[in-house]
Amino acid sequence: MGATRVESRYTHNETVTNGLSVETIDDLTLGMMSGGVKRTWGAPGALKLNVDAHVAFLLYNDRLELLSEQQLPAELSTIDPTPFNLSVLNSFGGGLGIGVEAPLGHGGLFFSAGARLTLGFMPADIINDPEDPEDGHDVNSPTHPLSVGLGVGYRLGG
Amino acid sequence: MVSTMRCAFCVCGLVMLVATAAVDVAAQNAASTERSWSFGGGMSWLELNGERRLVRGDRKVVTTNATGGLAPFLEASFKLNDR
Repeated sequence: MGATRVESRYTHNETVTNGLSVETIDDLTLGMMSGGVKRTWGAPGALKLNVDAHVAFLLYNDRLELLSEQQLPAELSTIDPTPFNLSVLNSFGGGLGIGVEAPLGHGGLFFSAGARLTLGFMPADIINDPEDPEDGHDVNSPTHPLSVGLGVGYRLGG
Repeated sequence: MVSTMRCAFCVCGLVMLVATAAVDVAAQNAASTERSWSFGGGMSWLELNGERRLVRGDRKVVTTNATGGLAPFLEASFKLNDR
């Protein structure tokens, strides 16, 4: 099992019918708790290759403050003001990983490197949306976190 | 409100990190059949690969693209058997 956390940024590009385009930036935090099974190949004390299959709980922390028509320039005043904020929800995902482990000395310490792809979705609801569907979410966007990392570990016994 | 949520998220994440247990069905070499724990951590580059497109009626289209970031990680595993 593992856990990771990243703070990222979303760039929003909002385009209105008349061609006006506005770009805003929003911070997004993703925490990922995963668990799965791993298969390892390699002789004792030598470089080991491993692959894993995992499921992950994706914790998003974000509330997208998108531009509302209230903030649009005067030439677009014919558009009725409507709030346009999104509340991002948590979800699940699953994926595969591959990595290597190399022993550092003879004390159980090892170096690790690997890559992991998780397929998931980022559900979101429009806040105070008069057209809100009774079931499901307003937006269910594909989000497939790919991580490439380096680390160290310690093995107890075995 | 947002900072409170983030703080709560951090605490929640920390608890989960500490509580992280492992089910690593590690196939180890035949010479070693003892069960063992291993713990590790490091830093990774995480690309979100996310894109959102939202159409509001016939008036406005919103598209979003996520960028990546550095992500610390913790990992624990348990060697369950020797396959």
